[in-house]
Amino acid sequence: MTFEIPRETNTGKIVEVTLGATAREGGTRSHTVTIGGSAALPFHFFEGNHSHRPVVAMEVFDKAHPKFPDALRDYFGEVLDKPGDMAKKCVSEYGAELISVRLEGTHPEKGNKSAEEAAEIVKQVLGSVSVPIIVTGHSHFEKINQVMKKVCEIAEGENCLINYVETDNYKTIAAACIAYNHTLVAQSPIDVNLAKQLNILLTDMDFPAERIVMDPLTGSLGYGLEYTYSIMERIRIDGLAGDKMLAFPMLVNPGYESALVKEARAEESDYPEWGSTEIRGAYWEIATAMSLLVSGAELLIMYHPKAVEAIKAKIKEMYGSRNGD
Amino acid sequence: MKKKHKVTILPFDTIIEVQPRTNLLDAINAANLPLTAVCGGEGTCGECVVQITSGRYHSKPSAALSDEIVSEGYALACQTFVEDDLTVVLPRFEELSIRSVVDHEFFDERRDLISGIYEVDPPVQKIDLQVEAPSLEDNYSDLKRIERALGKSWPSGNISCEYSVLKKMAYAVRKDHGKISIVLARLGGSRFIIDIFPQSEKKSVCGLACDIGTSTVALHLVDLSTGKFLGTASSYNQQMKCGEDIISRINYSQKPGRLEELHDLIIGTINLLIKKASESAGVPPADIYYAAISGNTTMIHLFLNLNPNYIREEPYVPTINQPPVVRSQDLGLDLNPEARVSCTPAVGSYVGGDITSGLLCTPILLDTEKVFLFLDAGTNGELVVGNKEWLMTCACSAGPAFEGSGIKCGMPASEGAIETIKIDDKGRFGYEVINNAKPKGLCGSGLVDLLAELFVHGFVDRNGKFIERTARNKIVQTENGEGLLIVEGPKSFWGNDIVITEKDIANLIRTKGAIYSACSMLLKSAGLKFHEIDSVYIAGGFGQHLDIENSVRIGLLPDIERAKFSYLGNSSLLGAYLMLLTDKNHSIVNKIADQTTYIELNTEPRYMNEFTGALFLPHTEMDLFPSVKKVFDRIR
Ligand code: FES
Repeated sequence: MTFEIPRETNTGKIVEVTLGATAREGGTRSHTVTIGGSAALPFHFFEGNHSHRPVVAMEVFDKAHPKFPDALRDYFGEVLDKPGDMAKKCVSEYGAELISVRLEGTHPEKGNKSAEEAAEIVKQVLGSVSVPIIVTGHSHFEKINQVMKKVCEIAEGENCLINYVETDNYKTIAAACIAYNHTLVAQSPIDVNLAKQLNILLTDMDFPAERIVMDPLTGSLGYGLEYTYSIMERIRIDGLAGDKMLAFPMLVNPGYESALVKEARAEESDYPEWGSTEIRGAYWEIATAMSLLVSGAELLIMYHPKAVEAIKAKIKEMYGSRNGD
Repeated sequence: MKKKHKVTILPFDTIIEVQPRTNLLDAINAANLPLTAVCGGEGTCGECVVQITSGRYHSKPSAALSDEIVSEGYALACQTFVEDDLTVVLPRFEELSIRSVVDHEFFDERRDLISGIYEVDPPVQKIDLQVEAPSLEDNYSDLKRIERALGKSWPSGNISCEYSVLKKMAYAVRKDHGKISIVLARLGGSRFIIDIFPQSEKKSVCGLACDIGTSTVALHLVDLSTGKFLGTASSYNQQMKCGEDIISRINYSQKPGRLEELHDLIIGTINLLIKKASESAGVPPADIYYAAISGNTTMIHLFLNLNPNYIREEPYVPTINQPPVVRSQDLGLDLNPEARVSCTPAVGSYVGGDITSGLLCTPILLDTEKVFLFLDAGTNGELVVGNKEWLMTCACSAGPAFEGSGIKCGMPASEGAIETIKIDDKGRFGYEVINNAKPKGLCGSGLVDLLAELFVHGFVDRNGKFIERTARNKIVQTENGEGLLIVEGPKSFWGNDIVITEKDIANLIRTKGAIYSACSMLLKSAGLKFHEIDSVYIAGGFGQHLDIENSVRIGLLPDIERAKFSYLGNSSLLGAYLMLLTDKNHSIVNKIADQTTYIELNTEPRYMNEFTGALFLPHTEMDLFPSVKKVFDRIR
């Protein structure tokens, strides 16, 4: 008797979202990156087609977080404060497929950089690398609306991934994305309904579905990852079952989440049994990222070069010769 | 030392003495009376408004009150200083002229369509007797002779007599040559003579049906010989100042002295209403011999001065579900001191006697084939599904929004409340106000209409946020952020704009979401779909009318055939009324309480998911509301 793998067939399919724009499409990127398009659960190659592989982005900063682990400083040294140079290093040395520019320094309590300064940094990064760009903001509504409006304007046509809007603050940024042709991250706090509601609100204002990426707001290993995992899985199952308002590709932040946890940063002298800080942070990030990948993430923003390397290798291994885009 | 001033605060009849030039808000607070000061005495919120009916005072001018209102003696307590003996009314606690939705006619028409029994045979009633005069041959005691006389028309059994009655007996029996009236209480299997008087005194024997809601308290004064209403009164529950929902009340009660305080506040609230109702009916409170009280389990615990703490803590166990009959003097109620007070039995900690009594007004126990849904959209939302053969129930914390609390422009369904609202094609508001008065705010039914109209006319999005494009020229600034203007200041009673803010709308959406999702969970637990329900009975403090179509549009009620819905208003009060009329209803509610299965939503992980799904207009899953979808697609 031969064993047959039971197969689920799905009526729905995840929306394909393309990031970046080449000269032909009105931008200056050397190529675009497309995510989504799956017709089955992650890595269930036996159940349906996965038209695009998950991709790994790395992040640069307008202002490096004071609490970032030393391990990161060892890798990046002084370029940590030079977003353009750091982006270049991420792409050429560590194989980042996209670059996220985190504009935390525009937060009124964290430096209060102006929208113009922020736009200048984004321009710099666009100039230093040719991969598509993600622009990552914060939760100070008034300020981030100003900043993102400006960023959208100066990056017109580049189809950046503007990261993010939330239910209580989406109109201004979404309108700017429509006006200047960018793609948008819809972020909601680990809840299937709230995620769906925001997507409905966006499409109700005629935001094009093929330009929405969801961020289910994940936690890192040891900080609610299990819960995150099951919410993402449910979002994906509903999306595949035909719920169009949940059928968007998902972005996650295992880098940011893991870099700040105590376990990744604690001094080796304080916790000798935890092993070297040099690699501990990478392990933490790998465990987080891998779980998120298996629960449905298509776009991972990561920090630790070793973790990036490991996750990229794993994706390659799992996909093998499938869909080599 | 300067002479102190006497400040009399109505409707509480509290008198305090204060130094000249004392701030009135401080004085009222010192008297421990429930006046809220949202802005902390800044003179901007208008919450501390009082009416001063006599005496001199000095008030700083404030934008929160119009000149017209000021000329009628209204003032902000926080901006007012006492310069004389004053009489001050707290308008928020004056009687609420809430009319009940149904009355005798309702029962006359539906005698056979309700689970309760509608007949006048109260467990406490006046019985006229002819007591034979004693003689040397018949030298039985007065009490024995009364028992003998009673035995003729009322089959004998143990009869006890209260001590206070014995003291009046010799006089009463002899005054009219043996023609006496006794007040007999037949409750819980025993019989008590609780009063006696000569027939010539022609006293009426009255009863009180009372609903203790978390937010409002309402009662009917009833003639126990005919069952007719003699008077009705309602007001806010004075406990409101100690927290809006039952959980915060329970928390409040946990400090020393606080349980007593809450108990005193509810007794005080009821006594004030008794005074109103008995004055308007011309019946002295001493003629009230029986009270049937219904309320949720926490309210009943506080009413009986029992510690409610264990209702809140897992495994959520109350002290008692089926309270015994108590005497009014033990509680401090202003009734006849020997009056008996009985409370309707509860199913559990979160499904109280307000529900079991409400069910008496529905046909839920008459049928074994049909399935009924009963929902009480009170501050503590409670639901029951089933029929004669099975009943399931659950509760949810809905909040007091539909009773007019926690919403800036909200108010109970009393005079001045906007009870219906329509928006026309040009975006203009049309509304009806209770008693055709100048509008003061919106009651529950008005708020349901408002939200539905704002939604279907595209003023708010599905998340309840204003849509710039359409709402722009109605937006005004308030201290709670942007608000949508409903009635302009000069047209309103208080002279202030009546406005709804996004925060208010979020509050309404939370409330309707809690109720809908609890319904949906309850039905799922019973393995039913909404369309399989044959009738839905809705209770709550919305006001006289509840627009079913609009309730569906906002996702409060499920999108099923409209003819299946009936709105009952305060069914807890009506149930208490039935309990007053005959004790047979007591056995019915006891049976309901015993045979109902309680589903605990707090421990049900799926509830949270149902709830967040319902926090949208009408719901995250528009497919659950096909008729609303049609309307929505058309307007878009
Ligand atoms: S307390 Fe706000 S106006 Fe008096």
